Amino acid sequence: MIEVQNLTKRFGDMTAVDGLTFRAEDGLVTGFLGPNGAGKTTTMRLMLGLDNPSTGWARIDGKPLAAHASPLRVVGALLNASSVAPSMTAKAHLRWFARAGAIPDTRVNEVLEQVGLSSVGTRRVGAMSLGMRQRLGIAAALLGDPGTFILDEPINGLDPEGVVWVRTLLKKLAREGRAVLVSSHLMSEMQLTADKVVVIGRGRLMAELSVSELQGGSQRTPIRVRAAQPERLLDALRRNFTDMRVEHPEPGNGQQPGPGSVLRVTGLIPEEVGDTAAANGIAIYELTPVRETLEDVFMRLTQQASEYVASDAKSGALL
Amino acid sequence: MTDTATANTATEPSTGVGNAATKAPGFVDTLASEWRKFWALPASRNVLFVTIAITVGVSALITLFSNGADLAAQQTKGEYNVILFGGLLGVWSYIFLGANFVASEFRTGMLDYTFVATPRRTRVLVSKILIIGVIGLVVGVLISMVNAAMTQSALAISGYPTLNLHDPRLLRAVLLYIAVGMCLDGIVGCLLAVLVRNAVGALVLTILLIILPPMFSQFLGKAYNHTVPRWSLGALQESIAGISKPTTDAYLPTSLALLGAAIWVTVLGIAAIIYLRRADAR
Repeated sequence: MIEVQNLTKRFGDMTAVDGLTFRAEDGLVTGFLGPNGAGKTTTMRLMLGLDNPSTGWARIDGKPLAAHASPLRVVGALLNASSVAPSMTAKAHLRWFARAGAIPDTRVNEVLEQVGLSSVGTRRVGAMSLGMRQRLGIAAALLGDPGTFILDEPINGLDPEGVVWVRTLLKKLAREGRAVLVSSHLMSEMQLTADKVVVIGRGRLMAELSVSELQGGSQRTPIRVRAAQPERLLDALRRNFTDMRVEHPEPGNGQQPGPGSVLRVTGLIPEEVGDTAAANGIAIYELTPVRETLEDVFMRLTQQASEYVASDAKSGALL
Repeated sequence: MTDTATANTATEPSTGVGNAATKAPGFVDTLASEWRKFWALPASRNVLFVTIAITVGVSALITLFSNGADLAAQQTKGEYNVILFGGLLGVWSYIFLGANFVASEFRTGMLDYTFVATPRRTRVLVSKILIIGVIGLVVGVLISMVNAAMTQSALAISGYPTLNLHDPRLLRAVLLYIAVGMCLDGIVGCLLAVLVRNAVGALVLTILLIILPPMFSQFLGKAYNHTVPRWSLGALQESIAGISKPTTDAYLPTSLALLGAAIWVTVLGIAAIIYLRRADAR
């Protein structure tokens, strides 16, 4: 299990990680999400002892990584697939790495086979595609057969077959009882892979939830409502509930919804909307919870926390 | 070409945590790992080849293209003039090798892997300087022996007198001068590369440390001349090899010269270790 407590990292005046506290439990794939510059990679480097925290701590299985006798058997890490001497062959890279962890050389061929690189083990790393280097990085992470994995954007550069393979691998590792922390920008992929997500923005924790919690099933889920008299329904809802929000984007864009308006109600469950309509004799034509994708949730949570945003994205225009 | 076009199909992950044998790695594992890394880096092999080629090549050239009389004249002027000629370039090349062995970790980002596998950073640094030191000693001795054999054979064939390598003083100089230079200066290059994270920068700094103290001697007076230059890297190398004459400012008794070399390595080593421990591995 990975534990992070009040972890802070400052580079001069810039705070890259700001009082971060979360856990990545054994048996789960934990997605680590955040916009560019949110501090994901720095947090992972702090977990691995590569960077020194300004305050706070990160522990793996109850201890800092440096306090473990056999670090490679505790954690498998992939930070940057290009952090390998390009002139070295894949096999040579794994061989020195295995020796540093007192891991038998036989494991080198095993993990190369496992990641599908056994036929290119003697190829120079610099001559490999990004996808192949990612596989090599995953091979290095698997080398010590550790109980914890910290993987930074492991599916970058992989083709569709590779993405499916990584997804299967991560789920299998978690099923075997290992803790898997994986960062990614691909929300759809995280939605398929992760059991829970930790969302950070500007180095701060924005959410730590299971994927199902994050996507809805609670009062966070917006409800799409079509009613015979939307303006009356809105009045009734406002009288009965204070902690809710209603949008009516179509048609009637003013303060009050017009006839035929579709309401989007947030902060209530469908039963509350339906009962209110029934009590006021308003016919309901549609009452649908609108499940947000992980991407929607991510965008909502990190809207104010993006370090680097294109001007088009700020205005919402794509073209 | 996609990665699937060349790579095999990946297989399912192994089952169960802790399939690999469980022996905690120690210093020997780090040393062995760095040894593998050294030979796996083509840059190490290439620079080592260049180092040998420069030193042996220069001796081969002067043996082939100068007549025996020129060689004999040079050897008469100074007994080390012929056999140690060319060694200096080799030492400089070897300093680059040592510096690059460390700097390539920073340049390629390989340091991430190194320090995840071995969080005890001192252990990694000590392994690297041991490797550079030992290879420097061995290669230096081999180069010196080849150079001596080539040049003295050429003189013997031409009918000129050769050096008596049964003389322990001469044998010590031949065996140790280039070897100690490669070992000591290579280690200094390694340690400086930690501080500057750049092989060329470390090479330049090491060469400056070798040449500046004796260069200043003509400007800084007797007090300086009688104290500082003999502790410089180059002077220590000459004293350890027994080349310095006791009457010169560069001379130190062997034991003090060895102590001086140890002080250089210790001081720079402590600075490098403090830096490595405190700095982020970036």
